[in-house]
Amino acid sequence: MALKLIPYHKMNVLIIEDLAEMRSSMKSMLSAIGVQHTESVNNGEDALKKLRDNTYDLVFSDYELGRGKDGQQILEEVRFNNLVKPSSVFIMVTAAQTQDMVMGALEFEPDGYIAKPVTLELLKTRLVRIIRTKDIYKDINVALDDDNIEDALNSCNRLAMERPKFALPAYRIKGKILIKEGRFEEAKDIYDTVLGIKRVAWAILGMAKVHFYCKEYEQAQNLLESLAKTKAKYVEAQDWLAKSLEEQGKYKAAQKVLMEAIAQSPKSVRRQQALARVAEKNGDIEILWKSCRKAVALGQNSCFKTPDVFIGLAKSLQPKIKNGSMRDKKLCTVEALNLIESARTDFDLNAVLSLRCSLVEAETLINSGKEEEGKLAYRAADTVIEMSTNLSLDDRLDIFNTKLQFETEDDAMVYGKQVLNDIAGNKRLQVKYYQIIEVFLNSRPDDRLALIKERGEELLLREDVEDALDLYLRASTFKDADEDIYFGVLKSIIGRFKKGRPDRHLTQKCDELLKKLESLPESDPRYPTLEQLKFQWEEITGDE
Amino acid sequence: MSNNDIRGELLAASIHEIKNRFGLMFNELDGVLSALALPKEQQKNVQLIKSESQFIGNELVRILASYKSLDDDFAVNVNQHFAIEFLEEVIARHSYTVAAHNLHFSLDCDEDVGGFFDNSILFIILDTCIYNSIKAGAKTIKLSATEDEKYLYLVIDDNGPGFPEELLEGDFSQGSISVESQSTGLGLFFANKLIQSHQEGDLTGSIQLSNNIEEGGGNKISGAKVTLAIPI
Repeated sequence: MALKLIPYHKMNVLIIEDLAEMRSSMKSMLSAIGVQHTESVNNGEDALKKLRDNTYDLVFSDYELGRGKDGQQILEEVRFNNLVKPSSVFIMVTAAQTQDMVMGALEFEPDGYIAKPVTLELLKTRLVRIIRTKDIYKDINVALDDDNIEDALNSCNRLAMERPKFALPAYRIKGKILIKEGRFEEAKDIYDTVLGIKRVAWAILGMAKVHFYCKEYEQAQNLLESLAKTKAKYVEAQDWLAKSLEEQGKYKAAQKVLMEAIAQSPKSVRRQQALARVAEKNGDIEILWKSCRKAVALGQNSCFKTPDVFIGLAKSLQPKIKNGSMRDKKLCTVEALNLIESARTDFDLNAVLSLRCSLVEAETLINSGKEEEGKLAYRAADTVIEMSTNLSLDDRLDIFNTKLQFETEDDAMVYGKQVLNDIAGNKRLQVKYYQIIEVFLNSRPDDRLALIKERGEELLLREDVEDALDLYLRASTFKDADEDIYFGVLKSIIGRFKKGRPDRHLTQKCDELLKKLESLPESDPRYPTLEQLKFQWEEITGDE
Repeated sequence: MSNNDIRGELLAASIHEIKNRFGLMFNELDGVLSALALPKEQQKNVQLIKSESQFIGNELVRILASYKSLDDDFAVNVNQHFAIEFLEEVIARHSYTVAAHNLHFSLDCDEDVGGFFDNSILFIILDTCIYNSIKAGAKTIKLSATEDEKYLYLVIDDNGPGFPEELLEGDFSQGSISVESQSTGLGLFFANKLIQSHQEGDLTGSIQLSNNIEEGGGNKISGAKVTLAIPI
């Protein structure tokens, strides 16, 4: 290949770097190479503004940018919104220590990486290499610049034919274009071909995405799980795995996958949003609160901003508004009302979302003691409820929760019983339903305990030991927990062990409760049951 | 979990933590050192500190990968890479090593040479070879790449004293920890294990060691040669 001179003097260059010394050193090195037009910014928000308003041929982004967006987030928005022409070059500058993690990017990839510390020599070599590699795909990228899809696809084929060494990268680009165009059958063919040659990670992810878009969620899940087994940290693959699980209603599994992904890479808005979504489905208020808070903060000035997390955050503040200290109460009330306000002003809300807003507003007001204002907000919501036909079961449970606070118990329960009827067979929603009633009965401990006992017995009868255990363990922390509750815990733990799912912490709990129940008199009608449980427990623990 | 498993997990988790913390510390240190205006002699110390820090960081990464390679379900993430880009990157990553040890790298590789490998694993193997060369006292290292129908060959030549006869005769893939050679054998043992995880059909990756003989100089050794063969 003939060596063409790279026209550095014609290039518009943007440097994204938070440290001033690094910015100026980068600038002087670039000018030593011949670059004449450089601009620089010190954070992701300014970078995106610049990228929206100007055209650059070359962008350098530091990966670590202190607070705010990191390099990967910038790249995601850049690729998502086409802020940088396909023929332009985006280079990520990384510390060697973070490099291997960063280089796991499959979906939103830069054109190249440069390792810190950046020296003139290194910059020259890497830049020449990256620009010359990019040049191989020039025809494809120029076609993409003009949005000429057919030309781009043909250029991919031509490159694969003429230079077989570049067939796989050409197919990789082709696959991405086809998915973007919704041409899934063709994309499937491409990935089939590639996987027949080599099981490369990007092709597995590509194939999984095709399955996902074709609603073949289980196949997508299987492929993504096989990718996870290689132990490489492909966070994007985890995102897609969570999405596939979510579509199948496997919310708990999805939450687990997302929490692992977030532990590795916490700054992605969409990942936090996804976690908030499944945590809400799982009724996990703590995680809902954490993920919404992060998603709201990260979503500022982001194209991925959504109203859902504003409403979710307001919702997750309710326990603190209701039961927190005076200070918490005040702060959280203000925060929740502000969030609702922002959701209404910053977004164009659809009917369901504005209903959710009104419900949370009513709840915030009543929980903070402003009953009259709450009633007004509730009445506004109530008229919408009656007209809405396409509410999800999760939404209807939220409505039930609000009704319990604003209507007579009998009226609310009529609605509740209807919902309960409709969620028959859905364990997750049933758990949520009973949690709502349990919280509602907070101020009436006797009724609450009675409800838990009734529900617990029902669960044990169905041998649903996991849910029973959750319920009884929660109840055992109540002040008025009695022997019946302890019996419930024991029965669920023993049931769990019998199903082959032992747990060391539970062993301790079991021993502790058996000790507590030692004082139960022989005359007690439950005494024979206790003897039986003790026997079963000895049988289980004796095996070890 | 058996006690041995727990012992292993404990060490791995701890090394992982140390690696991350060390990385953070190294970054801070790098910033502080770069901001200082030091006299020439001390610049030399700074270079040594940076180089040694980088060595420790790389060493921790290597230990973790070696540890994981012992798992039954260890698998590599193979992707297509072009040798020139990979080798340039190797040299770039060793800028501190070059400065601190007066090392000279050269590169000999055609643009189109390439293959399928896990580059994070190959970085580790190349590091092992480069540090071995430096320990032996080499001042120049040549990296080169060629390919045939079956394999991509990455070759590391140095101008050091060459490998000791025992190492060339013995089978290092069996792993032997000899105290005298300062566990060099163990580094290569794991490097071999890591490269063997690159497989294609019935071909397996391998490491070959040899010594270069000076041209026309009888039997005088002019340096060590490591050849990594990666199935295509």
